[in-house]
Amino acid sequence: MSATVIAQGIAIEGELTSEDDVEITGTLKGRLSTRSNVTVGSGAVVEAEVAGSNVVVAGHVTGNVTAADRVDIQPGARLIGDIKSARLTIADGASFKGNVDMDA
Amino acid sequence: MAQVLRAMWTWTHDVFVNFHAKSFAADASEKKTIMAEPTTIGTGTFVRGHIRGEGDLEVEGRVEGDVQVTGTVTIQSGALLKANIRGSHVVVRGAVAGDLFAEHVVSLEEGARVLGSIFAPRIGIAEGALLRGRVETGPASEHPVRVVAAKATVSRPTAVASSPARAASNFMSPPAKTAAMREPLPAAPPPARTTKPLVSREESAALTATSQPVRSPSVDRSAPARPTPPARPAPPARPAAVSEAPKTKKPPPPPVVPALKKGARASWKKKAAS
Repeated sequence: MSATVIAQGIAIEGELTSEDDVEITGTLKGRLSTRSNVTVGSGAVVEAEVAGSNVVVAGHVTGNVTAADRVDIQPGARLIGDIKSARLTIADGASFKGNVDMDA
Repeated sequence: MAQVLRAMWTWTHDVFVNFHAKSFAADASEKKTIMAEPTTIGTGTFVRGHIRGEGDLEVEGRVEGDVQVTGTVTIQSGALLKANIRGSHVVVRGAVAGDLFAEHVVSLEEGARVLGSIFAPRIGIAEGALLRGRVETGPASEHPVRVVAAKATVSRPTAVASSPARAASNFMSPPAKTAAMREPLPAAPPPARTTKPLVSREESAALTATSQPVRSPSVDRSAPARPTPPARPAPPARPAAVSEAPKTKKPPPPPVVPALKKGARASWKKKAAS
């Protein structure tokens, strides 16, 4: 397991580039890009441009989200920003403000 | 009959209680594992920026920027950091260019390569670890102030150049001020250390020298949207890091044995024979 985890209580300010899965339950400000999956856990605060192949949001995200595969916004999530992804699910109870671009 | 009933009751009671105890224990352990999940920067991950907060940190990838956490910082083998690191414990098995500060212990384990100074009450350097820099043991409260004072002069321009939010959240600013106020006074030394002024001057010079390569990434960071350099494997970093340091030092002495051309010795022999 070499996934990157940002646990609760930890804040990263800057740019995070990765090849592996990234899981955030803490705070990230700046930019996040990975070739793999991104999980923004509940309680996480992300103020960043997020790019990944599979992006799951359960926490607060402010910034544009780009996914090569899909974006999944779960109940309780809060997303402010534009989404660019071929596939998108927004669960009941999630809040989202922004534009969606589902051009494949 | 009553005895049998009582026996059955106690048995069922025991089973019930045990079952619940077990399930609670399982719950607790599960929660613990979830809570104990440390922050990890994985092998394929590169962070450019600073990492702050409460909890432990484990680095297997690359980090450029400052690291300041309340828990244990573990730098695994294969990791590559250009950062000043602060934590309660700092364990190094990888490569670090930057200063290490710990509230309790800094331990360099086998495979560690550190280019920078170490300040901690307790310091361990294992066989197979490599260190180039100052080492200072003593109470943790003594060092960061002086170090911050020396470093503040270097770091101030970058702090101003970067965003105001960062400057505001810069943990170094308040201690830097207090340290600057304290600096004119000759740091009241304990009687045992008579060579203190000389040491501190050398130290500040060494600090500026060592902190220069460390500071460079933060300057880079302020440049907008610079493409990230390709990920380098750990081993090549050492020559690069070493090549940074000699700038401040005099060039290495010439080799003891002069380099000779191929066949030079043979020609001497020939001359001697003839």
